[in-house]
Amino acid sequence: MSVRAATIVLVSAFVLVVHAQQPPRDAPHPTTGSGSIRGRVVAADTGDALRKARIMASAEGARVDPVFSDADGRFQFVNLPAGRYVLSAAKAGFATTKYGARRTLEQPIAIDVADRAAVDGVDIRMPRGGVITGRVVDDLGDPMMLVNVTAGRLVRTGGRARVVTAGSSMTDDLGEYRISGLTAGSYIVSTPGMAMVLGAGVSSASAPVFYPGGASLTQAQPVAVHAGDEVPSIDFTLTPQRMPRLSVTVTDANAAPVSGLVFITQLARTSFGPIDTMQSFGIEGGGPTTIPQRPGDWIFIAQGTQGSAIVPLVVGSDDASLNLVLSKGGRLSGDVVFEGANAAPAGQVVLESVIADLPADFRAAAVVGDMKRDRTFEMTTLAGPREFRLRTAPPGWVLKSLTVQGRSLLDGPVEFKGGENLTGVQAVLTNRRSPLSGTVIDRDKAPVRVYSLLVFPEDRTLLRNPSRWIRWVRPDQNGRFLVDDLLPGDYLAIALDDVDEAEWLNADYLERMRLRATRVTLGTGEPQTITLEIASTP
Amino acid sequence: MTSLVVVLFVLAALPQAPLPLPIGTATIRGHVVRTDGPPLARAEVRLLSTDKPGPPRVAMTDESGGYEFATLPAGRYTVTASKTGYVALEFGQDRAFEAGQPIVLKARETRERVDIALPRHGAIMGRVVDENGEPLEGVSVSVKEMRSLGGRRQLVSVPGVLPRQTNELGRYRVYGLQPGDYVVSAEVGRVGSDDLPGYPVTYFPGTINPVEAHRIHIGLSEEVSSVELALTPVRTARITGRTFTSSGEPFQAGVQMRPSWRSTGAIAEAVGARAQPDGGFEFSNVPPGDYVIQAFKGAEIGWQFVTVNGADVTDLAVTTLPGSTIVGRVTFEGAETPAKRDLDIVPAPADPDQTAFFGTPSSAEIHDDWTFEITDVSGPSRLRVTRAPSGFALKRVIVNGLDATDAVMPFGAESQSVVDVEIVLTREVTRITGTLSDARGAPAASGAVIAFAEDRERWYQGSRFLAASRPSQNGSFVIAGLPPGAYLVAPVDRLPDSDGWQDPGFLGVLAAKAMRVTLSDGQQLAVNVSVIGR
Repeated sequence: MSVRAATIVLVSAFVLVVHAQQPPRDAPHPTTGSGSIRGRVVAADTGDALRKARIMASAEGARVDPVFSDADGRFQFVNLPAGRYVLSAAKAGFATTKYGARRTLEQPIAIDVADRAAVDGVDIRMPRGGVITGRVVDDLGDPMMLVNVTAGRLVRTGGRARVVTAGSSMTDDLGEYRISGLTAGSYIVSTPGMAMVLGAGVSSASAPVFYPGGASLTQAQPVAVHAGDEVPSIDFTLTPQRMPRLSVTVTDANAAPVSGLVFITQLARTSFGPIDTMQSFGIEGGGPTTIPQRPGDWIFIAQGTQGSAIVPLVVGSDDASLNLVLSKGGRLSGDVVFEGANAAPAGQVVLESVIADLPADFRAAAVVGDMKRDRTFEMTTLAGPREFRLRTAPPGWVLKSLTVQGRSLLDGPVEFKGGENLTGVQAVLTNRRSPLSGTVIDRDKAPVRVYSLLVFPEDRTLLRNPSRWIRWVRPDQNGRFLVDDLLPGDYLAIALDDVDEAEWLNADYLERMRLRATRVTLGTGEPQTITLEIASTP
Repeated sequence: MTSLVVVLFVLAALPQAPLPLPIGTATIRGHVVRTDGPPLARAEVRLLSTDKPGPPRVAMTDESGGYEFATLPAGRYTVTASKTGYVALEFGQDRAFEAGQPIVLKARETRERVDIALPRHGAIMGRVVDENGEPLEGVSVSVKEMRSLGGRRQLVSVPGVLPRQTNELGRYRVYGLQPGDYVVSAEVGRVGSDDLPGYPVTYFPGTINPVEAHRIHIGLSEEVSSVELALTPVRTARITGRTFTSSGEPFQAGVQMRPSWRSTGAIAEAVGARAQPDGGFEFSNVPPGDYVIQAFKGAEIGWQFVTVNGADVTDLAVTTLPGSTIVGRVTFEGAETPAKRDLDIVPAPADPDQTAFFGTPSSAEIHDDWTFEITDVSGPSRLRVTRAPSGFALKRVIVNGLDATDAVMPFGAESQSVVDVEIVLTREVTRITGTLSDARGAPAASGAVIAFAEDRERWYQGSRFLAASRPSQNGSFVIAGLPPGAYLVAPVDRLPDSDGWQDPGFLGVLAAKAMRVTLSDGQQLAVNVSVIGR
């Protein structure tokens, strides 16, 4: 079969539905009540009142209209329904601050508002914002405009390093950018790959650059920012690179080229954000089509009438080739078991599968499986490396296990090449989780109001799935902590002054905590209350 | 929490097989530099033939700013250089909006030194602070131009110049500006949002009326800094109301509001309201001022004036009108009926506030027998002939037997329809001819001549009593079709493409230097107009 010359289709828009990762949705909250929160916003360094700061309150996804502090820095939220609220304050020249969080990625302290309760004295201390500024030029020294420079914090999850953006700024016509409002800390500053026109009809691109000039995250040197400081001259020079070429072919399961148009989306895995790290194109007649590439760690998602394919590929500086095999995708079916319940509780149950190892809020090529009335469910068109999670469940129910023939589908990516038919999958949901609450004291038995609690499983193999088993919890305004969304099992709990937000999801970091942690068994049924002694930071 | 992210991306397309370019033996070479001296690398240079059709040739300058076009056929070419951040200029062009210097090449000729100096774009920088002098972050600062569109002053965005947000110091920089006069505006807390409420859109130096805004002049490559805006909070109010049809039933309409032209003298941007199925609508966060609200649904449209002064306005009723019909016939005085129906009759809106915010009135449907009708006419309007068969001009409009030429008639209700309209066209067309000369007496090739009625009542948008003409190369000009009457004739050095010269303020200034003439029916008048030395 002859292979037609490929044509590239200019795709003008691609709609991506992005979901924030959230626990299974509970029943909708009442929108009004008679609780209130009152407090003051002050500058952290001088204690001066800050006026016209914007304060937002959110509780379990429900947002309240923002309020502004007055000339004395005072603010209030009224008519609040009962709940646990996180407050966040913003003001020009200051770092946006969540009540109780001293740094960007530190977990905030929730304010527990009981029914009709008035919580006073919630003072938010805002540190002055740090600033990183500099200039981006091309290899000839001319300013480059519209380059989106980002500053982010390095976070390691299960061995993979990722940068969580803390701030960004677009360069102007002088090539200058200014990222402000940063909390004190170390930041990785980088530019994305940029298209560069070198001549009539000749275009190239620069690779992403990590300050001071490396091409990969491992070569990045973090920039230290202190509150209120301006770090100047964090400059970048973008050099056009020869873009390696990727020759892409699309075949079906019998290795025959597919006919018709196939859409291919390309996502970066270590992503800073969707817009700079995606491209999309169409291939006719199975290709081969040669596409100029930006080096990086990509995932290719192909969709055509014959099915789909999802393949990760690391593109270096050399030319490469890629064959995408379209298949109808695997199928998975089974039934839902509600542990300990005779009748199914009211409410919808939806399972979903996303591409594994992408940031939690990415839902490209997501597949959902709704539970039917007979408690069965089915998911089809599963392709590529997949993760499974519970998307919707009746209030209080979480996913305890998802197994097929005794094998768990929740411990790492499950690869689907197409044609698989997994039947007899069992999704066990449970609502028997006993919440764990308590307080923390110091060596002299005095109460400690402000601390961080880390809870992680004793079984080291479970650490491969951090979002399911590891929790970093902050107390409420009364110094009380509450852990209510972990499955029953044996855990270790440790109360600390401070947690390293870059490392807390890593097995090595948690290993250092083991000896000083307290064993806690989360059972089913009765709530537990414990008192922990705060451990000194290693 | 679901958010929809629409991702736009462009892929460098595989180049198509290029169209074959004609081959010759001539060469053009040169350099592109910045006006302050240094060479400009990676500038795009376009070569366009002016005597043969075809696509332009494109080259990029190298590191020394040099470029070359070779194997060119003999002919006449223009060469234009451009680069992001710079004003694009043609070879030989000294200033923007002026002609460049085409190059005439002979076979085997090599033209060297076809050099172009590009000035950088200008910029405006400054700060936005609140009433306490504290910087405001995230304020959208826009740079706009005051243009006359359809005879009305209006602030329009400048193409290619994007609004910029203030940083945490309250500072902004708007760049990419060509030379011109600009208005700077700051916007935080739009009508309808709940983002830092209480600040109206403010124009430099600190007014909420765009007509009172100070213009900032940007010369070539000029950067103006310290353009500071101090925002003063105002007590904003909420307007709630309902829309009703002409028969009194509430219904869900498209509802928009903008500051009234009567109070500001300019057409501002309109904001839309949240409209509900029961006809209710709401505008929140409205600063004090005079506004006009428009409601429309299909052909039904209506307007309501409202003045806001800090207190909420409730229960405002906006009633739409179904539109009137105009039926009539066209007659030709003293001449045989033309063969082709090259005629447009339009109900031209006379009140900018009672004019549809969007769209233009539709013109008449004219039949073979020269009868016509116009439907869905709303708002006070004048019947205008915007295009007449060659050699003809409007003589008179007769409605129900009375002369209604240039008269403003109310339209909107069915009872305001008119069914006995006669549009009389005549061959007796006045002509003013003449020559425009410059201060030395030589024919002026640029500029224009404006003729306008002495009676100021006639100085409105679309008036028959205003006309302009650009001279040809020998300075001669023609103004035909003005109705008989007393006129003022004056030269101007530049006539903008839009009809901004029809602004009464501008004509008032011109009147002082104008020559007075009188036209009778069908009169042919010859005049000499000279530009007084600058």
